[in-house]
Amino acid sequence: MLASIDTCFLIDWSRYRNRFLLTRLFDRLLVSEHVLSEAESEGALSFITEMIGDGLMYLVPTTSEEDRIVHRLVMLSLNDSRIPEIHETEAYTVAIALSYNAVVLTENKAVLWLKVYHPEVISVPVWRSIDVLVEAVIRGLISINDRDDFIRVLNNFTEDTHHLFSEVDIERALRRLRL
Amino acid sequence: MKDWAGQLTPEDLEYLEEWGRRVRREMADWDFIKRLPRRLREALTYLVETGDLRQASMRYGINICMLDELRIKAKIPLTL
Repeated sequence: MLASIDTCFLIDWSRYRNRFLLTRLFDRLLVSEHVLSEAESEGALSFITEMIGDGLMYLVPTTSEEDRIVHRLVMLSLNDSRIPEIHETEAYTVAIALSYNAVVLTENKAVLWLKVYHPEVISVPVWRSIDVLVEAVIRGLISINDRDDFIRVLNNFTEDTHHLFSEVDIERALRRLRL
Repeated sequence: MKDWAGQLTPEDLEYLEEWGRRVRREMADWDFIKRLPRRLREALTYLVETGDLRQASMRYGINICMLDELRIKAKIPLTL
């Protein structure tokens, strides 16, 4: 399974104690040069360098095919007042996911809003951090016994990244895990 | 592959917007934010109001990684 990862998600996960969970969940993480050029913090750079060095992350050369998808996504976000303006970095993340049939890993509002309002345009799965953690539990990469264990997983993520999850998302995640 | 975000609805997005704005306002370290130079202060205030790290980074010309470092110091949670 492949995943195309955007900058916000990468920054967030570079702080997480269990960040290499991503490389156990996915065969390869795909990034564009746009993401790499923005990763200026020490933590994000070190995470990326290690993953590329271990062959777990791949820098995808973009082509005219991705350029066309990016143009369409930008046009959509500009012409639909419900959608926040999409930046080219996130647009290329989605374009790569569509080209390689990969999951989009994002913490970006524009991508999420596009997915909800124009699901036919982003026809691949889109996951946020909480979705990745749920999937890791489902696949046995994180061991939990009960609700409290999963809440502890979320709390650890919040402690490391200062990323909070809403009660609605938490309850939905617990239902997915049948807890 | 399950399409988790594909199960969200416009109502979910509306809830995330309202809930997120409330907790960001409550949790932000306003004393820290107010002491910052104007551009950084405005960028963080924009982030608190919108929850959009990317737009805050673009609008105020601050590298997204650097802005995220500042976000943590200002105790502003990500909420998506």
